[in-house]
Amino acid sequence: MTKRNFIWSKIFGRGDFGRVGFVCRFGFLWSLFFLVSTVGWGRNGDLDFSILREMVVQEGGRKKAFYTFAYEQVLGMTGRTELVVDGRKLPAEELVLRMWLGDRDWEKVPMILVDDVNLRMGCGLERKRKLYSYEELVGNAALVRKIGEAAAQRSRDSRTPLRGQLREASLVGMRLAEFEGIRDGMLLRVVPRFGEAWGVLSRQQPEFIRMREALMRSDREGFARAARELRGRLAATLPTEQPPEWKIAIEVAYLVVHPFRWAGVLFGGAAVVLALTSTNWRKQGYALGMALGFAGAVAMFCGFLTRILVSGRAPVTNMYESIVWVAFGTVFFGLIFELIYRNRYFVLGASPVAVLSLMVADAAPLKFDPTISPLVPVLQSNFWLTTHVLTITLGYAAFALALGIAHIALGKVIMGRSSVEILYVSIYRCLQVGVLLLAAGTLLGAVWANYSWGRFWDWDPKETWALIALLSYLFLLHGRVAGKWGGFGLAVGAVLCFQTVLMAWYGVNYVLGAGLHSYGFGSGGLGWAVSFVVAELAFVVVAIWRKKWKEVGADIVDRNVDKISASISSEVVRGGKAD
Amino acid sequence: MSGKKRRGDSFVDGVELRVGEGALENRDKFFWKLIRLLGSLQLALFLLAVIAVACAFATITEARFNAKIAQHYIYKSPWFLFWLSLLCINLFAVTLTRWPWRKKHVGFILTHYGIIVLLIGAAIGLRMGFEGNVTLRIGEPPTDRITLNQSVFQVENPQDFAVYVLPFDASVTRPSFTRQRVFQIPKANWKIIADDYAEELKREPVIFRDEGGGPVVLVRFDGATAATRQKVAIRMGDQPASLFGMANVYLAGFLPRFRVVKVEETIMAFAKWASVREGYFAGADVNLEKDGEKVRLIGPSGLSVVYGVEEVLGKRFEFDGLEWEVMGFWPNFEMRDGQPATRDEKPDNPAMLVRIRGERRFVEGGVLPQEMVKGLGLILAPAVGGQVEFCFLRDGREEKRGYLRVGETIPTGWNDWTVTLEDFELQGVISERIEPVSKGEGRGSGAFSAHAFRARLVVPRGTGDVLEGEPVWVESGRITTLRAGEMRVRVGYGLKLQEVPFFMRLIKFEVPRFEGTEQPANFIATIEFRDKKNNQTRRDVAKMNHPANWPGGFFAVMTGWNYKFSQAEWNPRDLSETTLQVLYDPGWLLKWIGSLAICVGIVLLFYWKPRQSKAGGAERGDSGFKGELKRVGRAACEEKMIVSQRCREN
Repeated sequence: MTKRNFIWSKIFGRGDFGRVGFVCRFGFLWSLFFLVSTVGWGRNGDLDFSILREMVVQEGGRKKAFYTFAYEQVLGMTGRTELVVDGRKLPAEELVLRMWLGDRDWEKVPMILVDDVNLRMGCGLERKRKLYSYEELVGNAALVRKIGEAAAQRSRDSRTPLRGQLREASLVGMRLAEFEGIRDGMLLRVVPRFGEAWGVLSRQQPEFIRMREALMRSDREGFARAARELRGRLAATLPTEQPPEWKIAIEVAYLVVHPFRWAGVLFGGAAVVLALTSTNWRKQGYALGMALGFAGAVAMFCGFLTRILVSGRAPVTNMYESIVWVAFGTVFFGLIFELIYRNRYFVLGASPVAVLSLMVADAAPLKFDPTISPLVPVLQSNFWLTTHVLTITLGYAAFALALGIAHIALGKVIMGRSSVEILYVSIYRCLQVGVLLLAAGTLLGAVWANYSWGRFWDWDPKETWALIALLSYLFLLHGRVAGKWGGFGLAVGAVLCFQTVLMAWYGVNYVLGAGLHSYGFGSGGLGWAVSFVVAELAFVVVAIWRKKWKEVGADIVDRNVDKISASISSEVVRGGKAD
Repeated sequence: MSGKKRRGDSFVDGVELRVGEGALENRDKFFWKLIRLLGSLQLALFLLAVIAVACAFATITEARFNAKIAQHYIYKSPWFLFWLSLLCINLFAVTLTRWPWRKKHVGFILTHYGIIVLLIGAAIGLRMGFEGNVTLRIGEPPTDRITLNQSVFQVENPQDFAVYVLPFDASVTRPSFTRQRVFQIPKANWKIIADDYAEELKREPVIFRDEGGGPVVLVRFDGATAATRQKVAIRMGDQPASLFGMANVYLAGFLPRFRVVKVEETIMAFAKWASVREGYFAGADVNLEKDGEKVRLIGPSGLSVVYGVEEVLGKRFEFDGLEWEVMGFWPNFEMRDGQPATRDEKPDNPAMLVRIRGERRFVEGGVLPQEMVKGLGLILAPAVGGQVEFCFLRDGREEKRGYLRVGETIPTGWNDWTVTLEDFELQGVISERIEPVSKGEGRGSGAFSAHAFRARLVVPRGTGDVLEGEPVWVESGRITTLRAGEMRVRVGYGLKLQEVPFFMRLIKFEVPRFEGTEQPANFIATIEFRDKKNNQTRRDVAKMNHPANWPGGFFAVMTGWNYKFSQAEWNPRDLSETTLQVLYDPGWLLKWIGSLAICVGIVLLFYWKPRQSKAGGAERGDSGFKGELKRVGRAACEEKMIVSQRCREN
């Protein structure tokens, strides 16, 4: 055993490379994160609501930790993960527990989200306020009527999705139902049953009553004891029906730590460090930037691993997961290229893109659903699905990396700086990877469609837009081979063509809203997407304008290279002919 | 690392690919000029752009209309196929311009030929393959028909009764007044003209004056909240018409009067003797059982309920519209000092005293159907002066009474529903009219989804003019008769059926669910196939991501000369039925080969640089070419690389 292995085994236990060992090691990494993030915990001085975190609830087609359940429910109901009640911040788990135990008249607390301003105006609610109490909403005749109307339309024709106010009203209706489900305890399926849907806890359960009483008295000890007893009792029921403990533990850890958020912070750090040390402290800055980048990648890796272990499937089945995966892919390619070419632009280009994607994914949990849920049948875990989606999204990631580097290059052009050539080459390398992966992914998609639907290619909007994105990048590369444009054109194209990727990735689901790939459908965020596209176009226009008027940077050189090589080749040809 | 580093740090590889062109100068001028033109990068760029834009436009079309229209007008239209074939030619020609091929061209050629093979496979699939659906039910006899997703218009020739099948999809061509579609009936010189199209039709009642008929009314109910409307036509003496089960409407000869009487009755019920009653007869009864443990209460409407005596003793409760109060119970009844008393606790002579209070409703001057005296109701009756007398009822109690003129609207008092008298005939009949649902109109219950077009029959007459028939809506999946005077033609419109060389039968259909939910986790259909030729049977299972095959076997699966069955639709309420998609695609193998070639080709193109062989160099007569080219390219970039070099040295 080498010394390194020895230390490894000291830290992680014996050199057992089985599943247990793996879980141990994985758990160790997690506990490190845990320690970091739980410093300064326990501010809820009086009562400890975290005891029931690991209680198992069956909901949404799987068994999950109560903590996850509370997080998802509160997010769905209020649109946020914490709720301020009477000036006190209630975390999700505390809120759900209090509602379940019924310690006050929760019907009067504004906590149900009415997100759409049109619906609010249509129902005579306030223009600005988004949260309303259950009583307010149930008492609102206009809203209740709209919810009924939406339900009626649904039952008449379940295929056509609802639109406009009706859609929003039906969302509010579901939130109201969620509220009732928690208040009455009907959503909390915590009592294990054999081979069927789990049951709900009786309100007469002694532990439940004691918990409730302790909560009313603010009796810290009593509450903790009752909660522990309840958890123990439930966990001991029907052990064969219980999910493995480690699964629940990492699920909770995942939610507490937010590894993707940490990764975003680390990538941001890497970008800042690399940008600041471009002239001074190059060596140290490069080392630190790379280290931060790697640390972020590891954090993301841990996050993905958790999601895979919890859900038992590849982590790219909804918009949230694919955004995060693309962020990961961007950094991944950035780091790989960096290890090969070592020009610091790969990581510098990748980090901001990754940070931006992670921020987008994190910012709108209602639009990009971060919850871990089972798959619709057509996405049922299988080899082709995994490969197809992973490959395509990795292709997107490569293009995103090209986009990041193109921004640096065009930024330099706008600033009038030189030394852009190396950036153009970097962009070209990224585009190559992207084209390969997108082509392979699209064809793999066809293979999968052949498996799943029996047909190879059916011009489904999602696959068609993947094809359009591919064609646009092929256009870009062929145009360069044809000598229509050089490195600068490549950079401009990397930005422009990415807009087609955006359309294939986001637009088809959120703008077009048609076709077979309807499992990823949602709405919203269109304004942001459009402003992003407009900003990108403006950026490109400014860059072209600067370039035209100043003709600086390496593009002259670049063009000369093309000219020289072209003249050489024709000379060679002529020479050959003469021979 | 620095020795063999970064072969491709400049763009020389792109240029390298083009140098082969030089060899063409030696060849036949015209032919190679043509090849160079067809294989030019300019054409490639143009085609890439055109196809990309067309696809983008098609997806928008699909979102705006539907997939069928996008397929018909773009993806499968002749001009799109023309661009694709031109792309094939371009791809083929460009590989010729690299002649003679060298090792480094492998990736290039593989990629470009891969696309050609893929497109040829797609064309074969499009021309010779087909796609359809079949709905199978457990226990039903085997079928050998598959419904294709191609619509056809079938016309039965009135002359020889032969059926002509014409491909026609109204949802794609969308005939309208300005874009009429004319079908010529062979041999007969008759024409059918289609001039309108609808996705949603409504079937609405209308009434006509008819000397032989009795009184009829047509009323319209509008619900603002539910955004629905319903027309109801009723004939006098018919059963009451139901409005969504919410209320009943009835046309009577004249309106009866409704009287409500307050009643109060006390019943001393005995198990062994007849009961003793006092007060106004409420229409109810009390039956006490012999053992004195249970009692049956019978309401005025005939409803009855059994209670344990202990349950109801001393209680006051509602049942069948009356208030019941059980005032006393004596297991062994006797009268003592003029008061009821019990001799002992043995149930020898049980007795119970019940007081019933409430209202009784009487209809005077007519008999109404049972439905009308319960729940909500509207009774109409013809009145003088072309008016209709109306009366709203709630549980047999009159709420409002008055007169209605044709065209007048009044509130019903049932939520926000209103009622309008649309038409009224003292002597008339009820008929039905089919017409498209206009946009913005609330969806009434008479509406149904259908792909239908309006058609009329045109028959020339000997005198030179033509006889035009009434336009009729031809619905998908039905046989319709078009008339013009005495002439008639039977037509059918719907999906085309295709016969397949085998029979299919559904053996089993299972839908496992995700734990604790109703969400389906998979669809598993076991199908039995029977070959028509040799009667051999074979079973296969169609699951999600795993289609069933016929005839199956390695060769058939590999070549695509194989029918594939995958889950398409299911009925949550009836699990003995499933709809499968059937696909036959003989171009399948080419598509796969093409895909593989493209992927491998791109990898080789980008990442495989064969070492320049000596023979190759000698052949070109300039062994130093590549090195020189690289040197020049590198030199130009050298300056820019200093930064990265420095970085690496660090």
